[in-house]
Amino acid sequence: MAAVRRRAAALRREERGFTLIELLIATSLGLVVIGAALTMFVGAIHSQPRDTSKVAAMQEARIAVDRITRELRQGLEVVTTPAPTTSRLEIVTYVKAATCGGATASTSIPCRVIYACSGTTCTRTVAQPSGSAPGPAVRVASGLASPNVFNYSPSTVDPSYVGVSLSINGSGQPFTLGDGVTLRNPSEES
Amino acid sequence: MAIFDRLRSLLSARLASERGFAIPTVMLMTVAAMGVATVGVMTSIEGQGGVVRDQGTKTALEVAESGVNQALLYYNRGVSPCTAKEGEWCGPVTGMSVNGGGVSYWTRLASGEACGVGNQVDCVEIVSQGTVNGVTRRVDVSASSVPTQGSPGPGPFASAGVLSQDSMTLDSNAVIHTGVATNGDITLNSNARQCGKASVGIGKKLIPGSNTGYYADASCKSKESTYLQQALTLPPVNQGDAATNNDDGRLFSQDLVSGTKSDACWNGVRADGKSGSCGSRELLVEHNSSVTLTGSVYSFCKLTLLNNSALYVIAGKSVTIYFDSPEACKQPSGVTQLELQSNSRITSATGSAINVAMLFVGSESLATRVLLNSNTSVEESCDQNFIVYAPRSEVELNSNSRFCGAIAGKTVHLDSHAEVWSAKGSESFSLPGWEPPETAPHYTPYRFIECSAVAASPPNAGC
Repeated sequence: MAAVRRRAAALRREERGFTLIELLIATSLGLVVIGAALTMFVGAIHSQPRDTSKVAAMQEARIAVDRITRELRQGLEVVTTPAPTTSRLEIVTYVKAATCGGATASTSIPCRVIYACSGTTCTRTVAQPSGSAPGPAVRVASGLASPNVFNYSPSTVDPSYVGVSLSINGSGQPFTLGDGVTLRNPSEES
Repeated sequence: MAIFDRLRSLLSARLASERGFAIPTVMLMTVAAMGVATVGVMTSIEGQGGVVRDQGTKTALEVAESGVNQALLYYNRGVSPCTAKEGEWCGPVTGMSVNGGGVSYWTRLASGEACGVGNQVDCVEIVSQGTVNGVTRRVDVSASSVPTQGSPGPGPFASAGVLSQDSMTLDSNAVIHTGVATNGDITLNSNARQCGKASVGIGKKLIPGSNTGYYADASCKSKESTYLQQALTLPPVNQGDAATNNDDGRLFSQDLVSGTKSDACWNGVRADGKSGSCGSRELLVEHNSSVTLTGSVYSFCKLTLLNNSALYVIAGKSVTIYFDSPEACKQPSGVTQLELQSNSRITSATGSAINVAMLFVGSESLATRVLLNSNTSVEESCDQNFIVYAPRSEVELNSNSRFCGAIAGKTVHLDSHAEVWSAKGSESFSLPGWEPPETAPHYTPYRFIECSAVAASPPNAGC
C-alpha cells in the first residue's frame, strides 16, 4: 500500500504533458472523426422527418384499409346499381351508430357506406341502406398514387369478395398496402 | 539534423506505443454513431410495429371466428353447450388454444321474433373473443335454424315396391314387377326376374343366377345392368294403443262369416259359438268360408287363411291390421303370424279398390314369419293399396302366389313362380304412428359483426 501511495503522489507531482505535435495530430484526427460523425448525424436528422412522414402515411393507410376491410367483412351486399368501380364502392354493412350517419353507438345497424376515391384522396360517406340521406364525406385516406383502390370477384355484377389496394406516394417513398375480404353476411337482404 | 533525429525517434516511439484514442474521443464517436443508428432503427421499428399489429389483428380475428365455429359445431351436432333459459347468456367457454392464441365464447339461444329474421326459426347468438400476442378481437355471429319437426318425409315405398332390411332372394321363376331396395344383396336364381330398378346395400351386390334377368321396367322388356348402392333402414312399427283400442270386437258380431260358421275361429271361439282351435287374438278361416271386415283397426296375433278361404274388406274401407309382437302374444320364435295357404285370398267384397295395411310389430329377439303359399292371391286388379310391412319378419311368397301391393320385410324370399306387382298409390303410404328421429338442427350464420375489442357485459355489448 505504501508503494502505491508513493507512486500516486509522484504522478500528481509529474509536470510532463502532451507535446504540441501530439496535440495537433490528435486534434486533426478528432476533427476528421467528428466531422464524419456529424455529417452522418445531419443526414439522419434530415431524413428523419421524411421517414416519420412515411410512417405516418403508412399508419393512416393502415387505418383506412383496416376500416374498409372491417366494413366489407361484415357487409350484407355490395351495391351493384350503380355498378361498383375501382375507385368507388358502395356497400350495405353494419355500422356502429344509432342512426345511419348519426353519432357512434355501441350497437350496429345496417347502413350504406360509400367509399369514393378521386385524385389523391378517398372519402367515406354513410347513408341510409337505400342510399338516401347521405351524411358528410369524411376523408379516410390521402396521398394516393392512384384512385384505383377496389377490385371485385368474381365480378362487379355479384361480387362476394372485394380486394382493397392503397398505393401511397409516401413523401417520395411510395408503398402499397393490400388486403381483401369475403362478405360474411351476403345472404341477408338489405 | 538534431530536430529530425528527435522527430524520427518520437515517431518511432509513437508507432511502437500501444496507447489508443483518449476515452472522451471514443465516447464521442460512440454516441455519434448510436445517434445516427437510432434514428433509422426507431423509424424501422415504428414501421414494423404496424406490420406486427396487422398480423396480430388478423390472427386474433381468425382465432375468434374459430370459437364461433366450435360453438356452431356443438349446436349442429345437437349438443348444446348452453343450458340457460332462452335469451340468457351462457359462458364463457374457455381453455381452448388455437394457433397459439386463446379463445373464449359466450352463447345464447332465442326463437321466433327475438331472432329478428322471421318467426319460424330458432337462433343462437355467439360472441367469441380471440387473443393472440396481446391483440384481442371479438366477433358477434347470429345463426338460425329452421325447425324440422313435423316433416316425416316420404313413405317407405316412395321409391320401391318391395323392401327388405337384410336380403332379398328370388328363386325358381319368381318375378317382381316393381322397383326393389334392400340393405343387403339381391340374389336371382333359376329363371327368376327382377323387373324394375334395384338398389342394394353399400358394398352389396345384385347377384344373377342361371337364366335370370334384370330389367329396368315392370314389363320385363328393357335389360338393365346397373343398380344403386345405398343404405336402407326400415323404421319399426309403432302400434300405439291398437292392441287395446281396436275393432276386434266386431269379429263375428258385425264382421260376419260367410259359409260354414264352424270354419271360422277367433280368439279361441268359433263363429258358431263353440270352442275352437285358434289361439289368443288369432283369426283362422278355412274350407271355402270367408270373413268380411267392416272395422278400421284390428290387432291380431295371427291370421291364418286355409283351403280356398277368404278375408274380405268392404268396398272403400281402409283397414289397418296390426300384428302384435310375439312377446305380447306369447308366441315362440319362428311363428308364422300371417299364413295364406291353398288358394286363399284377401280382397275386396265388391271388387273395387281397397286399402289394407298389415303391419307387423315383430321382435328383435324372436323370429316371425309371413307366408303366402300355394296359389294364394292378394289382389284385385292392382288398383288397390295392400301393404305388408314387417321390418322384423321373414316374408316368403311361394308356389304361384300372386301379390299385388307393397312388401317390406327383414328378408324377402320369392319362390316357385311367386309374383309381385306394384299397386297404384302404395308409394304414398305412410307408416302410422311413426315419428322421424329427432335430427340435430342446422344453424346457418346470418349476421356477422365485429365488436369493440374489449370484453364487455353483456357479452354482445359493443357489437
